[in-house]
Parts: sequence; structure tokens; C-alpha cells
Amino acid sequence: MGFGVGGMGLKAVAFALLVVWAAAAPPAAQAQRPLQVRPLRDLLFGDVFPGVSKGVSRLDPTNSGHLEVRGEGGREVVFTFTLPAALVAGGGQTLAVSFGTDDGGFAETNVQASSVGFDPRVPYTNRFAANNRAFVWLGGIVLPAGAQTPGPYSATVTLTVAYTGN
Amino acid sequence: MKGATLSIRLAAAMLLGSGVFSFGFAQNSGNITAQANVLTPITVTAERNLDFANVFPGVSKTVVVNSLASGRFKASGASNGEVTLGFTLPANLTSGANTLPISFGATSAGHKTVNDPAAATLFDPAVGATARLGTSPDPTELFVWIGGTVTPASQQAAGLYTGTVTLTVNYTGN
Repeated sequence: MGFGVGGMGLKAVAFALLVVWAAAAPPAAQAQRPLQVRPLRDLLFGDVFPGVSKGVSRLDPTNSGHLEVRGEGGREVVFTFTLPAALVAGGGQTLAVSFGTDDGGFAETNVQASSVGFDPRVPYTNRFAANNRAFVWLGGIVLPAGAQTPGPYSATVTLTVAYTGN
Repeated sequence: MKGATLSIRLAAAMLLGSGVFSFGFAQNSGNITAQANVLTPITVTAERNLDFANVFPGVSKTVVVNSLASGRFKASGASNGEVTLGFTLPANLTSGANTLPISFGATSAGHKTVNDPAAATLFDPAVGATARLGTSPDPTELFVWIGGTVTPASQQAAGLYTGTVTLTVNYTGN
């Protein structure tokens, strides 16, 4: 049996390769679903009094930021927030916002009370469960000055997720 | 054939590994917005001084909240905003180097969302109070009055005595 060009040897190898690839390829594709991040709710501080800090807990069921992530069950993913240092008003005024060590929340299912806290200021690593989903919540605190200019303030929070390869 | 079979498995493993690697570091991002609405800051206006007018040596004189001589402040801010009222009070009025003791009692101050001291909620200015600004569409204001008692000595030096009373108003966040 040789591996010369032409003849039964090459055909056998090619056929076997196709068979093995056909068997191997589907699991490989299924095992690496594309990651999807779906925003579910903004982080809402609501009305804020000048001079009075106001925090929103990651466990707040109506005001915490909320995102759903879809990917492949069992795969490890790193969650990285890009967080603002301030919210900004239409006139350019800024409202300081900060995030603490427990302001991020992660759960395998959409049950906020079961989420585990993490520091959203640094990348956080966890795994998808068999349901191929993960849920992330975000709290924080705004720190208005006593003479803070009234009006609406906002800023963008970005969650980036990436497979680690593990 | 064993050699060939081994070669095929290696090739398949390489392909499979390649597939895992190419998708394994895929990433995706999503955005939410952080939002806040900052309410109107508090402004405090001194509208009228606390005026004991003429006092006689050796005779204490008291000004009550519901009096045209009481001091009056007006605080404005967010509708129905809860605030703390805190006074900085003098122990004496002064006239040059001379001092005239002044004191405040449990009912020496009052607050009300309308300018009606007769209906004010009284409180001890040395302790302070918590109140709410008026609710829109009514004026979102709070009036605060201050009275007190001066106690001149029988040999009190004649002259005009003054002191500063400061009202500090802060939101509680409620």
C-alpha cells in the first residue's frame, strides 16, 4: 500500500478523510456557536438629587442594567465591560458614576437573585451552562455635586464577550 | 494500512483543531445606556432678618416664629423633595467687643410650604428638622422661620448688636 498519485491508495485516503471530516466537522461547528450579546435593560438611576449619591444594586429587578449572552454550553468566556467615568448631559456637563467590586452579576439562567457578583471594572471569566446562555447584570452609583446642573444624563456601557478557547 | 490510518487521524485532528481555534476566540459586544435625571438644585434665600429691635437692659425679649420680627428663609428645589434643615446659631450677638446672649428653644423655628408662619411646623433650630418642599404645580418651596430670645444684662452696654444665623438645606435623596 503506497501513497502514490492516482490509484486506489489516494482514493482510499481521500474517502477516509472525507468520512472523518464529515464526522468531525458537525460537532466542531456546534461546539462553537457564535457569541451574541443582547441588551435587555438599561442601567437606570432615575431621578437624582443634587448632592446626594444614588446607587443601583445589581440585584435591583427594575433598574439594574441587564444583558443576555448566548454561546456554546460548557465553553469558557471572558466578560469585559467598558464603563464610563461619567454620564454626560446635552450641554456637556458631566455626572460622575462609579462601579464597585460587586456591581457585576452573572448567572447561567435569568434568575437575578441567583447571580454571583463580580467586579465589572476587570474582565470576568465564567462558563456557559448547557442552555448556551448567560445573563449579566450591572449596578453602579452616581455622585452628583450639590450644584449639579439639572437634566438628563447618559452614557454608553459596553459588554464584550469572547471565548477563551478553554 | 496502519500507517495510512494514522495519517488520516492526524489530518482529521488537525482540521478539527483548526476549526476550534478559528471560532474559539470569536467575540461579540452589546451596549446598554446608563441614565440619570438630575433634579433641580436647592437654592436658599434669606428673606427677612430676625429683628429683636429695641431691648431694655435686664429684660429678656423673645421673638416667636409667628411674628413679623422672626427671621425668614425660603428654600426652592425639586418638587416634593425631602430636605434636612440645619441651623448654625450664634451664642451671642455682638457690638464691637460687647456681647448679648441669644438663645433658642424647642419651638424657636418653623417650616411650611407656604408663607404662613401661623401654620408652621415648629422645631428646635439647634436640633434641625426634616421636611419636604412644595409639590408641583404648587411652588416647590419651603419657608423657614427662626425666632429666639435675647437676654441683656442689667448693665448691658447700649448699641446695635448683630449675629449671623445660617440655614443649611440638603436633600436627603428621598
